[in-house]
Order: sequence, then structure tokens, then C-alpha cells
Amino acid sequence: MAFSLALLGASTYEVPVALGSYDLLATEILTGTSSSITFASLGTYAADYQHLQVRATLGRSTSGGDMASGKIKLNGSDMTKSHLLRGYNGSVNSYDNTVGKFTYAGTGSTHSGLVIDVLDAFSSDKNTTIRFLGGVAGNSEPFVMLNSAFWDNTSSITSLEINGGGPSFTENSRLSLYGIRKAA
Amino acid sequence: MAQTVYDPPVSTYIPLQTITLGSSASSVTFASIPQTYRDLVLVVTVPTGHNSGSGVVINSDTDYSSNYSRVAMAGDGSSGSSFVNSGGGNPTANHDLGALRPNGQLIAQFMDYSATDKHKTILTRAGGAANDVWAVASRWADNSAVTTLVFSTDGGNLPAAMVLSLYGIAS
Repeated sequence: MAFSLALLGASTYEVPVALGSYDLLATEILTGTSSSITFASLGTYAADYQHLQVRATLGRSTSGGDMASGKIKLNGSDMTKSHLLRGYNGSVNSYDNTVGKFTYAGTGSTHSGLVIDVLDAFSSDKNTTIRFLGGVAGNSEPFVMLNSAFWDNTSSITSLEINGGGPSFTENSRLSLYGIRKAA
Repeated sequence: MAQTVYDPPVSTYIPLQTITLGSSASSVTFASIPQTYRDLVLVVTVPTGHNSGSGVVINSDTDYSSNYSRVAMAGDGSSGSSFVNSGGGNPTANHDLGALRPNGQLIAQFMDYSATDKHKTILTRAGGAANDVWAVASRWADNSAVTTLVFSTDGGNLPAAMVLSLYGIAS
């Protein structure tokens, strides 16, 4: 027997509860291609937020193979090191890079999904680690990836750039920045 | 392509619905999903004794061979594997978000579910500590906004005590 709250006559969506710990800070939806997107002036969030998250759907603009390597820059600088675990077309592989690379793909209506967590983004007593979950299915190069990147720098983050790494992000790509609040 | 900065920030990651199964059921339906958010997050926790694949049907679309595809990566403690299911393969595998393991969990991110200009990409992490760990990217090849999700298994029923929670994230 299928189960649905409708069978119980339950009110489901009318009164969502806002707990106030996860906030939308900024969004950009591309109206044309763009080689990179930067979330700037992040220092204004340092007093209230512990972690940052970027959620994105990305297409790539150029032909010649679907998968591309984007990269993350913090405060205008490349990450120091990253490791990527990727399932692709029937095999699992791992790579390391000297910058914070991530994989994206997708043309036309197909877009990669990408979620980036920036942990302790405003700490000034430790190096910064970020992690990624991303992927897309059904295009010519389907992949799913887990990735982490390390920035050998203890500075508090003031800007976060998502760079296409050569190809540009397509129109309708969407990137949103969220903050996870500190304990009071 | 102006960037919108929200000042003040907008509180989001809103709990929309939680369903705890009092008895086994062949499927669970999230219907009339509001279109006021950008992403959905589905969190499923699996009770002891249940072990299966999962399945999702979006907007009652059962054209598995054309509209659902996925790429999965899994590790069971001794080896890693990856596989692709699309285009007329096993219809259950095509729309399988990931494994439902005993005492395990599945968290699926439906990216841009309310957008009407792109196919829907779903990112899932799943598994159970005694079995394996999964990461899956799935795609529903339709530009329509997602209004209904039907969650099921690849066989049998969803077990009693399974908990499914749906959250909305604005953008």
C-alpha cells in the first residue's frame, strides 16, 4: 500500500518552521556566459557565521568534451592542494592537484550539480579546508565526485571565486551562497 | 548577470514535511511541493533489517528508459566501483538514488527543482557503515518544475520506522 500524508488529511506545507541557522546570503543566475563568479566582501559575515556553503548548477560553454576542471580561489589565491575521488563511466579514479580543482560538465539543458562546504571560513588560527560533492548523469561523460581542497593560509576568508578553469559557465547556470550561523 | 546580495540574509533550509512509516508501504509520496524554494533535500533514515535499492519517480513520469539516468560510485571496504545506468537499462537502476542499508541513511539534493530552464540533477550520498558507501549523480531529463516525488525501493516495501524528511532551500 502506498503511503501519503494526504490520506491522513495532514497539513503538510502550510507552516514551515524557520530555525534560523542556515541563511541565504547571495545568488547569481547567469544571463550570459561567464568565466568565473566571485562572492566578495565576505568579511561582513564573519561575526555571525561559522561555515559557508555554495550550491550551484553549472553548464559549460565550450565543446570538445563535456568534463572540465574548474577551480576555487580564496581571497584571490589558488588553493594549495586538493584530492578528487571520481566515478566516471564505469571506473573509480583518484587524482591530486596543486589547486582546488573540481569537475563540472553539461551542455544545453543538462547542468552539473555542485555543493561546496567551506569549513570554519572565518577562522584565523587554522588553514582552510573545503569539500565538494558534484556530478551529472546522462551526458556524454557522466561522473560523480567527492573532493577536498586545502588552503595553506590562516587568513579569514574575504572572497570566494568559482572559476571555470578555461571554459565558461553557461547562461542559466546558478550559484548561491549560504551561511551557517555560529552558536550564540 | 547581477548578483543579488540578501541584506538581511534570508533564513532557509526549511522543513517541509516529515513522514515516519507506522507500517510498511510500497512507496511514499511528497505531493504539491511548493515552488518557493530552489533546491530540495530529502533525508531518509533506514531501520535495522532493511536492505535494498531506492527509487524515485518525479511528477508521475514512468518513462525510465528515456528520462532517468544516473552514475554511481560505491565502496564496500575492499574495492571501489562505478557504473552508469541510462537509456533502456534496468528501469529500477535508472531511477535508483542509492542504497538503503540497515541503520543507514540517504541524503538526496534535488538541485534547481523549481527551475523550468534545465534538466534536474540530483546528488545523493547514501550507505550504511556495515555495508558500503555511495555517491550518486542522477538526472531527470525534463525542464519541468518538480511538483511530486514518489520514493520507493527496487523491490518489496519500504519498512516500518523508516523516516523521510523533505527540506526546501531558497535562492
